[in-house]
Amino acid sequence: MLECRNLVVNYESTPVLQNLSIYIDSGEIVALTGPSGAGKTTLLRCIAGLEIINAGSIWLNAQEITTRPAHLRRIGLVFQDNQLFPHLNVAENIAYSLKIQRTQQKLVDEKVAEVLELVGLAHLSQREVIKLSGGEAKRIAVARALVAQPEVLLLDEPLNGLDKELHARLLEDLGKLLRLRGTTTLHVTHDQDEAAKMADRVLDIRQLLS
Amino acid sequence: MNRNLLKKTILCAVLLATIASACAKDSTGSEPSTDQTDTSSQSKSSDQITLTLLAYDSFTPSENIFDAFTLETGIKVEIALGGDAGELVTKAALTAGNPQGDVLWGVDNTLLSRAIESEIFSAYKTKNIDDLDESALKLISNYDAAPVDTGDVCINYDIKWFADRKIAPPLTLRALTSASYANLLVVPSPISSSPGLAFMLATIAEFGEDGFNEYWKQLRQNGVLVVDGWNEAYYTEFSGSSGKGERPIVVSYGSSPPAEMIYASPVPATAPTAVAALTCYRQVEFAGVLRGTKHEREAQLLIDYLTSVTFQEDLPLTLFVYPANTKAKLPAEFLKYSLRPELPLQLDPKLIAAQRTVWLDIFTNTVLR
Amino acid sequence: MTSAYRHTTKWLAIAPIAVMLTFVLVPVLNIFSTSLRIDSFAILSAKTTRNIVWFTTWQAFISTAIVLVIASPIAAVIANFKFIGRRALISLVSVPFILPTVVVGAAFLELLPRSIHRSALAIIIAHVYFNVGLAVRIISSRWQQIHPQLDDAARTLGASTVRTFLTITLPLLKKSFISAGLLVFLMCFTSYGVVRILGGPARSTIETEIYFRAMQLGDVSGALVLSILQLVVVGILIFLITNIGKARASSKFGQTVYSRMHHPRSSRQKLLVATVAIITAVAVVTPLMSVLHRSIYIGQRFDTSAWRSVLVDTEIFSSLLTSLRYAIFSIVVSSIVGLLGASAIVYGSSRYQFVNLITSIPIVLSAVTLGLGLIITFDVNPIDWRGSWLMMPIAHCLVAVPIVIRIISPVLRDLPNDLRDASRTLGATTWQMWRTIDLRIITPALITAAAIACAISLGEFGASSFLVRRNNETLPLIISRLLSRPGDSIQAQAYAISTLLIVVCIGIIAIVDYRDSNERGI
Repeated sequence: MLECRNLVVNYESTPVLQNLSIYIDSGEIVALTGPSGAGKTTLLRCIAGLEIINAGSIWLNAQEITTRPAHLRRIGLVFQDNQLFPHLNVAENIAYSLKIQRTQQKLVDEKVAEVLELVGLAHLSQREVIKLSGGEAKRIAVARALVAQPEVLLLDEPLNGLDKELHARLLEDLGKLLRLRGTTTLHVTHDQDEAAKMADRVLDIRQLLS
Repeated sequence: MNRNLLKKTILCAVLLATIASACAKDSTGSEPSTDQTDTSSQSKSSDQITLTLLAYDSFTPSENIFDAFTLETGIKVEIALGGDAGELVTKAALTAGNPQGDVLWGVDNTLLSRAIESEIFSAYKTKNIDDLDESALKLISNYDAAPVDTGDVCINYDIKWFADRKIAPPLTLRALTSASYANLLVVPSPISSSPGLAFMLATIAEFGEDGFNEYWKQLRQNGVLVVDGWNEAYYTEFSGSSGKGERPIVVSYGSSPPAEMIYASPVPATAPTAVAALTCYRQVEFAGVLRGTKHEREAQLLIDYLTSVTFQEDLPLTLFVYPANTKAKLPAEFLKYSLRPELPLQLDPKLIAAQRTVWLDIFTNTVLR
Repeated sequence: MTSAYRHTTKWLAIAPIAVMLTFVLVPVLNIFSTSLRIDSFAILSAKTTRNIVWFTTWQAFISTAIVLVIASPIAAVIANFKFIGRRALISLVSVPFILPTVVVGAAFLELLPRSIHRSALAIIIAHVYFNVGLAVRIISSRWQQIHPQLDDAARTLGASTVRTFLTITLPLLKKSFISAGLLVFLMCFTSYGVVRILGGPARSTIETEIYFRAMQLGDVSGALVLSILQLVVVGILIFLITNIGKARASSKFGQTVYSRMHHPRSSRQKLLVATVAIITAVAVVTPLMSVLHRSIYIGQRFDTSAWRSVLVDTEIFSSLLTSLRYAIFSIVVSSIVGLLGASAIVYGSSRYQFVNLITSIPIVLSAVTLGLGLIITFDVNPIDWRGSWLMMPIAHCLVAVPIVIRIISPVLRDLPNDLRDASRTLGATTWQMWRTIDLRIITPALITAAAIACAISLGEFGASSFLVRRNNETLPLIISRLLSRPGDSIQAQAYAISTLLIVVCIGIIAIVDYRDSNERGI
């Protein structure tokens, strides 16, 4: 389980998060909504370890990880605009975290194939990432995060900017996939409908501040 | 994270060190004489000494000319080139007392005062002093440096050009301002060229400090072409050289005609160029022990060698200059074609030192602007 | 925004700062403090000095204007049309920029009619020849980033082709014109070799006057005053360039290259492309051909003896090896130091901008001033390196590092931080992140920078000629020495070596461009 207690984040002297607390159970999918500028992305970055926290603490499985560096947290983040590495192809992007762990090449190939199969894009493994469509790129970004087997997966507006049909299909696929794997997920979106369809529980960020 | 940082820093350092040592090894490996004995890092045993002879870029004596010296004394000689004569003296002046080499070759009489005022030399009276050209010795007091060669900067002309047109070639400086020689003369600039400076000094010696400005005004009206260096004047603009120039009169050396004969292929039957004897300005080059050398005694031996008959006899056909040592014999072909004026023009080095900048300013304003 | 490497910056900055302090700042301060006399400032008010400053400025200004005018149609053709030999044309216009000045100077003396030897015109022609490629590259790469639909949009709103160009394209290109113009102006303003070889004694720029003052008149102090003057003028220019460069870099990452290129359609377009391509190619190649011509014709006769003697001469062979060795040294050292410098500037807080400043000094400073500083600084044990072979490759690196930094840092700056964050959430340590993201993405720029460092080392003449040399002449030095020696066959040898250098430079450009096209798929 993931818990944030009384988080405070200020950029210079502007407060961004004021005393925020949130709790997510293991295997639970929580959607977080709220108006833009309310600090949703900042919260995800705090949990991932990419932001400096002014006060408060973050706990993962009963261990405090507030000061643990990002690369040791085992928390996956799917960026709003994917941030696929432009110099690597699809398979290399997915294999990235495995290479970092110095996994054996054979095992890497297996896992990449497996997760590509899971997101239904096995035929694209050697494609340049700049040539992917919006939906394909999103699936690859999710696959890249999942292959690292994160304790928690953070999704930042994952379905933003996709057309209606694709949005619906991807939402369904993503929900299935995460439930199938039992991945603890925090899903940030400004779309109430999307939140309701996807999550076990929907929270508004404004409720979390005290 | 700190360990990673450290790793990175060390990696870079090791890489740099490896490269540096690899290059160093490479360099010493292929050129054993080059690096091991720098002027600063030697002096283990006296028989392993290498002297550094600083010289101008066009210093090209015979390749093995220092073997005899090494054989005789056990001292090796390494030539280090350092630009033209002016650059050499400027650098030597800046490093006076802690020189870049042990012996300096190539300060001529136009630069001599600057060199001596900057105290770059350590005085030494060579054992060959009695054999050296007397008039050259007069230029220097205290034996700061030894005269090593002399030459003359003179008006040269293209014999065939004048013969074809049945015009008499110019024989004096004054003649150059006459209309029959309009647009025929090319000179190297005194600002950037040592023969160019010598020629300007010749006009001062001839017409006086007050008269040379007027003379150059007339030369300018007569269409004198001023170029950057001697090489350009002689090989690009002069019609009598192997170049395809258009001007038949040039400022060059008294020894240019033999150079034309000896290095031409095929060798022409008669010399293509000649010298106007009354226009010559005497250039004397000096070599000296650099003050602050760690091998004073050995450097003095090298001065002795540079002024010796063996070395001096090599000079005419390699540098096209006259030996300063009067006992040295001149090669026949050199004697045959070169011209040695009886009464060359000359100026007092002290006067040159005092007035040089002023004269050059006058020249620049009169001729170049 | 704070960078992921902010803690590392101080370590990264150590090497470049140390190199610049040791080999630039200390020597320069040393020469100023020992040789500068206050009374020398009087020369600033002298009429001669004013003339020199005026000439330096106007020739640079006119050269720059002509470069921009000539570069525009070439850049237009390169940015807008696909045609056979397009890549070759891009490579070709860049060749002159990396050719040694000694070689180009000799080529132009050979080519230009005697009547314009030693004139401002000759200087300007050579400056244009040298710098057109630089401007073409800067302008055409920006042009390619203009979305073709912008043109279409303007057209649908009723603008003619000419109006579209004037109202849409030109304003969007303005910054690239300014930064290209400033860079070219800087090159022409500080030019030395071209002015010496083609300008004749009557044409002095500040740079050549510094040399004459120090070396021929022995007035080191006066030369230093002039070099302060140049420092001030060029410093202001550099400041302008850097700021305009920054404004450009702050636009979005990945500056997409749109497929605005199409095959020429109308016969008018075909004619335009063919004319521009052919004229450019001929203009670039002709001077190079005249160098080749001089190497195989001795006194009007065809004669390969110069080539034969060049190829068997051990002295020339050993200087070829020396050149290659220094080039490798320069590639390795200036790439590493330049990479570290660029990293410190980009990753560090604004405090590290002084690294940018300090690494600009070698460009701003005249080679004579730096050389004199080195001579009087490295003169005591254990660092009496004045006669050491090391000084020359180090001098090459000093010239190359600022350029390497300027090639790498914009790419590094444009890299979005989110990519690094993505890498970290996937488990990469700082070092792994740098290696797998930053380093990989800047690799093409690094290769370009290394190639430029190589070309600089192979062609460097100013600083090299200044250092004491013993058996370690590089090719440009040997060319210059042979050119100043009597005899047609020796001159031909100089031209043969020049031809070799030209071939090597073309090879370097070809390698860089080939890689470039592979990496970015342009």
